[in-house]
Amino acid sequence: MGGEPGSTVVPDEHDYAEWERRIDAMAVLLWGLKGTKKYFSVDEHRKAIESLPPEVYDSIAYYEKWILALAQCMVGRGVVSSAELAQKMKDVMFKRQHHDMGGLPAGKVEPSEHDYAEWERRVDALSVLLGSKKILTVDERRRAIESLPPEAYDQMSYYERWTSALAQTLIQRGVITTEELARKMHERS
Amino acid sequence: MNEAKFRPGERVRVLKAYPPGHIRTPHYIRGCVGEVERICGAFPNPEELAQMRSGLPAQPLYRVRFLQKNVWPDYAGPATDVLEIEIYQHWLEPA
Repeated sequence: MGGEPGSTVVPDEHDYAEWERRIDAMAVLLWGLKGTKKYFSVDEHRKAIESLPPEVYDSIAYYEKWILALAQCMVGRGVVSSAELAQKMKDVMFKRQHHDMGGLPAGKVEPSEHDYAEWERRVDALSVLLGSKKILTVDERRRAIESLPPEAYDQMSYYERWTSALAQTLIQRGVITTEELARKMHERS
Repeated sequence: MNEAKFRPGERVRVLKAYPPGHIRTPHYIRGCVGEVERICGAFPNPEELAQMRSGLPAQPLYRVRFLQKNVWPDYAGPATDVLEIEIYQHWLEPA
């Protein structure tokens, strides 16, 4: 949010709670386990925090963000599975994920016939091909789509979400790098 | 493949948990009690596939039947209306 309007920063001296110190220590320890399955980098940690939905990002404390990032990174690295975490977190209420809107009030569904644009067919073909070549799974695509910030999720069309997910998963798989993508986007702009 | 722990007709409760990641168990059904309608087979765990892992051993998948009135607190339809959802075994516990 650098450069955006903000309110006055009021510096204040404060001490850290015991749980905050523990989270900090745990994260620093995990960053130190280089070369092991349990290792994750400070950059993965930052990526997890930056992926938080805006209203979550704004509504929770600094070290609460760290906790969510730890959970995200540990699931990502396979240190714990979502299932194990679910078992341990029974009845701990997290916010509903934005895409998971079953049961919420909604308007009437108006079915309409429509054709697909050429780029939409290409995105579909590319995704299906990458799937058949085992370069990405439908579940990775869904995860990437479900991780979109709520306002992006609502504004994007169906295949725009697919395009965004393609970029995200190909970067994660190491098929392309953010540098390559940035360079191409710059050339085309 | 993990062994199927539940049989058709058994009552099960959906875990009331909210882990991060790609979760195929809808938010609204977590914590609800239903009845196993059938075993659909076993499939690689999509939560793991979404994290670029194998998802093996395959997880049994069940079609679970819920009474609508047990899912929606203000359900106004007939009391016998049901809702069926396919849910993986690791999201279910005996009820």
